[in-house]
Amino acid sequence: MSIELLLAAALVSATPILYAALGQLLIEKAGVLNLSIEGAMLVGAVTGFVVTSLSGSMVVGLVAAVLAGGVFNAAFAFCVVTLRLNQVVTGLAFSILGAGLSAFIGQAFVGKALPSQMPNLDIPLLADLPFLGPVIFKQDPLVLLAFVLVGVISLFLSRTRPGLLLRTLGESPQTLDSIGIPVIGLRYLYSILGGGLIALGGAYLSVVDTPTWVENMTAGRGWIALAVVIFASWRPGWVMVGAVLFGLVDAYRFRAQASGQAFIDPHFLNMLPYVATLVVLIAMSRPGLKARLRPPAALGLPYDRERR
Amino acid sequence: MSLRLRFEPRLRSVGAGEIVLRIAFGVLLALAAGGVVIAMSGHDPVTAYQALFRGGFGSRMAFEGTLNKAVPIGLCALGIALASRAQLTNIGGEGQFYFGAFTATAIGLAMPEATPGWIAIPAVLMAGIIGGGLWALIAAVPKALFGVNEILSTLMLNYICMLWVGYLVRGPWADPMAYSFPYSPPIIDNAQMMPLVGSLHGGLLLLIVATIGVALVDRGSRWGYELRVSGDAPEAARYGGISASAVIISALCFSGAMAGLAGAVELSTTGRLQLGLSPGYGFMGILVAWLAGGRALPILFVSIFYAGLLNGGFSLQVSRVPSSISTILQALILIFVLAAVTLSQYRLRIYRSEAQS
Repeated sequence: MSIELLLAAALVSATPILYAALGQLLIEKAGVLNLSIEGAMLVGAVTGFVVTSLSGSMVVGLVAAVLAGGVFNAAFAFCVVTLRLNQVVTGLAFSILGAGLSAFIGQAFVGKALPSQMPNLDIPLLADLPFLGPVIFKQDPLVLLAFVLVGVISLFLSRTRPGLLLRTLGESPQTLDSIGIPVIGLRYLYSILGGGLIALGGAYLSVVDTPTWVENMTAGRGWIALAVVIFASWRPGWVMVGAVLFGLVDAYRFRAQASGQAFIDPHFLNMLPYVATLVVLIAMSRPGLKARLRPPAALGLPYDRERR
Repeated sequence: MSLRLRFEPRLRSVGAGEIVLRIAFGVLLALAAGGVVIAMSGHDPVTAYQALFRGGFGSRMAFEGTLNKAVPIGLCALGIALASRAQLTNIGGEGQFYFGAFTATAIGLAMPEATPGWIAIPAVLMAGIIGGGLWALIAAVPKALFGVNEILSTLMLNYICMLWVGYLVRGPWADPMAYSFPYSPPIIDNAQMMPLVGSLHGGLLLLIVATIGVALVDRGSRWGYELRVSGDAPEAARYGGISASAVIISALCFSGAMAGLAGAVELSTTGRLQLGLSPGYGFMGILVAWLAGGRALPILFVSIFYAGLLNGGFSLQVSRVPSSISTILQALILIFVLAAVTLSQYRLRIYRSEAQS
């Protein structure tokens, strides 16, 4: 197998994880621990597929998926930001809700095919580049968009004022409140934006990658995205590295299984993202690294102006 | 003039009776919301709820099945509730369940066929307790040493353990006689718990004993006190000579041991290690522990209620209602009850203020 093909396949596998992990990053940077991610991804996957097959347009389907993810996470935000319910339990409940709703909505569409496939890009000059051409510039546009988003979010967080406010929102919301910035409103905003991205990750699977709808089709990718965000210590560039590493393992596993020549049992390959995350989680808690790599200080804590 | 709504904390805590009322109110609201979903799908909500109830509690056989399912949910929930006394959130029940089932299988396969039941069954259950505790230790030690967030580490350990079990039942432990089903060979006959009454097995007794045990730990034990002090006032605990590391390790390992015991019970009653052993009991344990407010006796009842919902979900399909309705209903009940219980700590006040001119 050629290295270009393996890398190209790896980027396709990485794309849904990358969208979901970037969405999760925005939400967690805002100080909300979002364990509903698997549910939002499934809602996105089913909405994308159903709307695409009803409307015949992938763009309409993908936009609908993003909207559905936003609505789903707005409901989650209502519970944990406004009502201040426990984020762990509510997140798990929304995860179950998303699985149930998607199975319910999608049952009439199981096994159906979409009318068309997403065309691949063929950018005139870039596609002819020797190595990068086939790996990056002959993919479908959503792959490229995911990687562009990494740069955008990275610059947003490190170079802009709203990005600074977002970082403060997860570290010390009372500071924002004291200078008159609406903490609750911003948490809603990033929950909704993040939910849209997570849902887009799900819709990429059902509309572009597979393209089909099967109950529970994300198969734990939401949890992997969650792991990737921790692995990356909440830094967008490392989120991309984590997602691509996952994509490589996934692409290698698929090929090794197809050719029947696996050096390592696929179960152990599948463990890698979780083991790596666990190791990073422990490593970054060591005193020297702690200051730079720790989670947002207010992650998982509801904001209550009267109890700060 | 404008109206403004505000939630204000209540000054006195709400009595147990009012909490029960609010839970009931939450369940009713969830049933109403679920009914709307069922109606939208073109089915009759009343018929669906009747089928759900019949499947969970409607006959002796259904009720026995519900009680059997309540055992692993309740055991996981009890452990999770106890760890939450020390402000530890163990969401690794699922992994601890499977690691307990794995160690129990190892013992159950290794014992000689002639081992008498009074040795074999306790050995398998003990193996599960130890296995579950050990799996939790992997998260507990980094938490105690470096303060590694246990919510995230226990979550990662779930998937590692499930993949480990998947590897075993498809690889080294695959039963050649089970055709292509990913099962381990059956553990020895004497290590398998048989039904005591009807289809009811001895796990319910274990759950009742564990419930009483946790209640006793809460009521008057030194350990229970230490857990609560280090959870509610870590500084005071340190000043009083309570070791934070000892609390973290003992609480998380106990939590894991209960989930491991649940895994061993499920293994011992079904006989083979397989990935279908748990439909998410470890996660349900978290939800049940919260719904029950973390208290031992309510956990026993809430786990039976939850198991009924799960059991009833299977019989929905018989009445042609999609079984995903039961999943949606589980989530809705959780969210509504959680909201009802949390909001009971607040009261709603309406302010009227004159518009500024």
